[in-house]
Amino acid sequence: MGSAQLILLMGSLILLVILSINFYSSYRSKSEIDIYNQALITGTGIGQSIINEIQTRAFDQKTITKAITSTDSLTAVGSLGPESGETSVTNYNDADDYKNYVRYDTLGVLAIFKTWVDVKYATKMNPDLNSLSKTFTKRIDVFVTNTYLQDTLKLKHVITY
Amino acid sequence: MGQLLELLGASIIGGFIMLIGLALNMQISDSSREIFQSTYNQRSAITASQVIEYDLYKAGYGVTGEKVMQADSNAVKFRSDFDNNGTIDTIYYYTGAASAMTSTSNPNDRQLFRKINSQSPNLVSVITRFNIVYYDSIGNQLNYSSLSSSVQREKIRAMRAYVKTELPDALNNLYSPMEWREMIRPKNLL
Repeated sequence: MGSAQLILLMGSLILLVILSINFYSSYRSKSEIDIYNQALITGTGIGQSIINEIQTRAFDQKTITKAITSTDSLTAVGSLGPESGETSVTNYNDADDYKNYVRYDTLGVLAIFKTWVDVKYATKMNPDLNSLSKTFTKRIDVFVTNTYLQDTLKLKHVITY
Repeated sequence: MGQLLELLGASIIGGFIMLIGLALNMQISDSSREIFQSTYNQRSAITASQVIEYDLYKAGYGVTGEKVMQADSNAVKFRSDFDNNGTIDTIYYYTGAASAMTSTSNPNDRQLFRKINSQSPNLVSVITRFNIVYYDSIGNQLNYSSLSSSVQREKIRAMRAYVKTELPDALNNLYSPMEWREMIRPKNLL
C-alpha cells in the first residue's frame, strides 16, 4: 500500500468517526429535548390546574362577604397567606391563602411534579412589578419542578378586583 | 503473494467501513422516524388538551336545567350554549375501541371523539387513555356509580381531565408515553 493510499484511508476513517460522534451526540440531545418537552406539557397542565383552582376563590379575605371600594380594607402586604384556622387547602377561601402553598402530583410517566405558589400585590398598570402597598391587583406565580424539567416552569396569572 | 495479502487487507478494511456506514445510515433513518413520531405524539397530546380545555370551561353556560348529562370515567356529555346563539348544544366526548386502530401496532391506542348535538362525531386525537374524574364543591371525588343519578351529577363542580398518548408503533420496544392532566372548574357549574 502506497503512502498516498494510506493517507486517504486514514482520512476516510477519521471522517467516519467524526460523523458517528456528531450523530450520536445530536441523537442524545434530541432524546433529552424530547423528554423535556413531555415534562413541559404535563407540567403546564398541572400548573394551570392550580391557577384554575385559585380563580374560583375570592380576591381577598375582606371581599368574601362584602364589596369594598378602598384598598385600605384589603389584607396587609405582610399578612398575605392563609388566615388562622385555614390549615388545609379545602379551607382556603381567598386567592392569597395559596401563598407558599406546595402540592405534589404523581403521574405515571414522569413521576412527581412539585408545584409551589406565590401570591403578591402587583402594580396595576405593570403587573409584572410587585407592589409594596395594597392594590386591587394580585399576581399569582406558580412554579413547577420535575426531574426532567431542566429549569423551573413558571406560570403567571393576574387577578383583579 | 504480497499483493494478494494487500488486496485481502484492503477488502477487509473496506468492508468494515461499508458496514459502519450502513449501520450509521440505518440509525439516522430510525432517528428521523423517531423524531417524526414523537412530534406526532406530543402534538396529539397538545391537541387533545386544547380542545378538551376549551370545551369543558364552557360546560353549563346558559343552561337552566341539567348541565352534565353523562359522567363516566372515559366519556362525558354536557350541555352549553356553545356558540352563544341562545340555543343549548350538547357536547359529547367518548373514545372508540382500541381494536378499531388496525393500522398501528400499539394495542392500546384509540380515537377520542367529540360530538356536538346530532352531528357526525369529529376525531379530536389518537390517545391511549382518556379519563375524567369529577369533584364536588368541597373537592371530594364523586363516585362514578353514583353519577348515573342526575341529582348526583348536579353536584359536579370540577372535572379533572387526563389524556395519555403513545407512539402508534414501538421504537426500540418503547411507545414513549406522554401525559396531560388538568383540573378544570367550569364557571357555570360553580
